[in-house]
Amino acid sequence: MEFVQRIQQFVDQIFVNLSFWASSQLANFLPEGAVTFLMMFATILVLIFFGLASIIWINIFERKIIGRFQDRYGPNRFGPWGLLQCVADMIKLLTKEDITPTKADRLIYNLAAVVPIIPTFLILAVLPFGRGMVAADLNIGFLYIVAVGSLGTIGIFMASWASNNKYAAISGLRTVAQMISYEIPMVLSVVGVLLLVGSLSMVSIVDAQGQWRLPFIVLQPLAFVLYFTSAVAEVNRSPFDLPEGESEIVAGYHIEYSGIKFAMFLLAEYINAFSVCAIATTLFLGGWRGPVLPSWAWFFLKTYSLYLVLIWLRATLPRLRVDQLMNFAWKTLVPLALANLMVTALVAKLVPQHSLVGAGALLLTNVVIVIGIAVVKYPRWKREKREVVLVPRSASSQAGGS
Amino acid sequence: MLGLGLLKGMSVTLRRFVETYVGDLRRFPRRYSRGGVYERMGITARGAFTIQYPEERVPMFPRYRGPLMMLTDPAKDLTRCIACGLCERTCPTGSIKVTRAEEKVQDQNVPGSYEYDMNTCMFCGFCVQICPTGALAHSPLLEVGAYSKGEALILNLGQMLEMGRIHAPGGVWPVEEKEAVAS
Repeated sequence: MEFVQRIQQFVDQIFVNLSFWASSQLANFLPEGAVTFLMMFATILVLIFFGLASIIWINIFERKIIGRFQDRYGPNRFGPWGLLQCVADMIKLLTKEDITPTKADRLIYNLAAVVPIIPTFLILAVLPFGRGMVAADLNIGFLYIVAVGSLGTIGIFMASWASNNKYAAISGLRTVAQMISYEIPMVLSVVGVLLLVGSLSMVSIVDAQGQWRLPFIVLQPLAFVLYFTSAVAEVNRSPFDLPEGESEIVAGYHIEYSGIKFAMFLLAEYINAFSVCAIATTLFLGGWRGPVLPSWAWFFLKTYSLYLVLIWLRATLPRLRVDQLMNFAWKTLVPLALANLMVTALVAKLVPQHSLVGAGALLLTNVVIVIGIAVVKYPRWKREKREVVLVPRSASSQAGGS
Repeated sequence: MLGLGLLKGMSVTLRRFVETYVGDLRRFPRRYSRGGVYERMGITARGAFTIQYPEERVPMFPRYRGPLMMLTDPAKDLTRCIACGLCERTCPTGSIKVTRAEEKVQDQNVPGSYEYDMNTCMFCGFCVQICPTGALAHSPLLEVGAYSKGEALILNLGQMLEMGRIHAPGGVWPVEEKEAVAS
């Protein structure tokens, strides 16, 4: 039994021990400052490499799964089960001609391809991938994520403006409007969780879920749904993919980009989607906590399960209209998030911390909020009025009368 | 209302997601086969309906106008063509050239040479309509590609008879749909 536990611990801590071993080896012939610097550099490299490499499997995973959702096989020609499809895609993208439009603002146009990817990698720094596996345990972790996450908007807006293309310009304006609108419910929904934790650090959020012995999705289900919905909008994925709506504005902000620059946008988008899922895992699903399996395995299992939900949403839902998008953010998500925040603040003070009674009370209040909002926002008389009748019931009698 | 419609739609896609895997398991070792197309056609079919093109083919419908082939009379074991030249005369693009053989075979005129030029043929089907003995027919061939124009796409008598033997065994056309695919 003890032996099994030791193996579990070894596998759990394998990456942490690896970094300790590497730094101790370096310490033999380097001063302490240099070792710290080198290890920092190595961590950054590992994160960037992970981000770039994860595109390979995220891409194939997404395409295979979305194919299944749409009653077809995904790519299945190149390699076993089509697993090497991304290699073919990469070769195609890298060998394409790199076009800069003559009327484009060259400097900003080229710069804009790089800007969206930087905040994407910056977010990875504060994610706890496993027990003790966090690059930088900032005490303002979530604030940092919110601040850095918004920077991607600038890159997209730069790209759309510098392209000197009308579709790109429309897309850029849409992006800014959408991202700013959805940032608010996203942050407000998480504040409830932060109240329960009492800290902004991502590591202590995971620890707090250990103290409650429950993931926060049980305590704050409404907040989870709100966060996930606005996060989908935040990373421009379907059904909120207005910035690149193919059927309306061709390809949106990256319409003029080709080759490697286009690949950069794609890369930023996929890693963003991954990190949104990772943040949701950390905040609501208990992060790396879980039985038997090593901590990092639990983290990736939960994150990719959430990614599956993202793909599922993409395969199912049609794109929203611009006015529907704004209405949904300001009239539904923000009031719900505010209600959730107020009630959570009240209940969290009243009930005992870290107890099942408190958890039950919080869950109950969440249900009460949802039912309350439903009754207030869509009362019965209003619901009947909103019923859509495609064919007038008295069409034949009207035709006869006139 | 209240997002219940969303859940309903998502349950539909989830069901389809699961059904593709169920279908894969049901056909387990081989996911698709030549006959598999029929299983997956129609509105009641479940699972992925993608036709895996080189391995599977859509059955060609009987009135498809493919390249010409020549049919054989099974009673005489001889071509049905009597070398009357009507096809040559009616062809709008002049893709057919027939010459009559000097001697009759089994009391029937036979073509001495027959050249069918697929480069210029526009698959109008006039020759098939006008043929008095029903010797010409459209083959169900879809993939007729060549690397260059010219000789490769000009069929002679032997090749056309061979095509007829393959695609219309027994000298009857249109044959049953399923048999055409199987061959």
